[in-house]
Amino acid sequence: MDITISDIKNISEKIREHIGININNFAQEALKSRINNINTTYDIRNIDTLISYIENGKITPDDFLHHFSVPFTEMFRDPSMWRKLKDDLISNSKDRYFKIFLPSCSTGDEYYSLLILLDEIGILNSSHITVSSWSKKTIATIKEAIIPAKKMEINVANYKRFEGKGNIESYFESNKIKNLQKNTEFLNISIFDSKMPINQDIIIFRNKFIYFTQDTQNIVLEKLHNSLKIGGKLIIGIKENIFLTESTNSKFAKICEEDRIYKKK
Amino acid sequence: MQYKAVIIGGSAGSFQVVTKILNSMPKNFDIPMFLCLHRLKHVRSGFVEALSLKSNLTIVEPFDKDTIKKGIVYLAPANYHMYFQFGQKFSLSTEPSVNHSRPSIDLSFFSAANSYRDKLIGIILSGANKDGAQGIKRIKELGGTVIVQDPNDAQIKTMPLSALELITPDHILTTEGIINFLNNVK
Repeated sequence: MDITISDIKNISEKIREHIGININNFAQEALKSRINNINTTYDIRNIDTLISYIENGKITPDDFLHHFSVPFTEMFRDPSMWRKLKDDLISNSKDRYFKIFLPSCSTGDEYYSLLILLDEIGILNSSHITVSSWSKKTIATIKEAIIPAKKMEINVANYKRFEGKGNIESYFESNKIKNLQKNTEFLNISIFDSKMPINQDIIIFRNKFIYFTQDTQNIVLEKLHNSLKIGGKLIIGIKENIFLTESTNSKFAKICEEDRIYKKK
Repeated sequence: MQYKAVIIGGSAGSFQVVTKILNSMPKNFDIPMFLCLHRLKHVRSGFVEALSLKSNLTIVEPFDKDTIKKGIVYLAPANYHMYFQFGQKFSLSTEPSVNHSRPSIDLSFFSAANSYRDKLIGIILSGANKDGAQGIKRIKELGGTVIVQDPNDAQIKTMPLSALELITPDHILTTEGIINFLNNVK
């Protein structure tokens, strides 16, 4: 279905009223595509039907948010970033207790990759991980930890490039990630929530800025800045750019250009 | 200028064609050129360098929200879909693959068609699947000029033939024909 600007105007208020989000925070192409994803999921052919489904609760707010999020499609995406994170954690791991925050998760791929990394370098038990999502359904899916078989080929390839210690399949029982989910707190909050965790050592927020407008990116960056402790690291997607304003330059220092790792000043 | 952008989609067998096109373009080519080529997901470097070897034009992989500039060639980054926002900016996405491809030629062509309408030239080259056929149809529907590489000139015909099943293009051209066409763009 071709979503027009006028469609977006029509549903914007309804979504704000019934779902509680402002879709104008999202970049237009992404927005059209995510609304299309919801339409496809519910076999909706026009905007009026979408509005009626939202109004009459056939699509609950939580379901809407679950399907609106862009799923991550692979574990250990951009293996060089994971290698650098591993080296960084190892070099700083002596007597350290790490707080790591993964905001706005849409699937568990980044979380499971992190669990495996921390397990392999022996600091899973001395780390505290916070995983947040605006959808309860998404959190339940992440906890369930089922990896579709079709994703395994790329996961195996990425893990090899990450130079993992063993065999990624040893972390699975059937199609589920083994019970590594230690020291993890799951928060049902959105990135715009006032109750974001603080004093974090590392925030992994990859390929999420791309879905926001530039103005909203600056707001979100401020939130993430507040969540990090001084010297804490922010990791974003390799094709994302946060150094767009003078104020960003005063808040973060670039640690790794290639893998987009920044440090809070 | 009659046109405001060129978008080229290609897969297996298209690299040499794209290289020839880039090597033959004049320095003062005055509109942006977008390349949406199927490529290995995990190989992030080397492609731009290989395409740049003998080209007069600057070739880059855009970052999200980069401003689109005239005379620059933009290569869709590995493992991202590439969209074009009104307001002349790129918008990248990690949504799932389409036709087993990310970047998806169809998605880029759809987005370019919506942004540039009749000011767009869409070109589909050699490839072993159907990606791009629906996209080039969309470019045609919205008034753009569409060119399909002559299947007899293509190393792998599937992609040009899939496009020709859906549309009658403005031109069916060999590599040389495409180069001549682009050199005369006004």
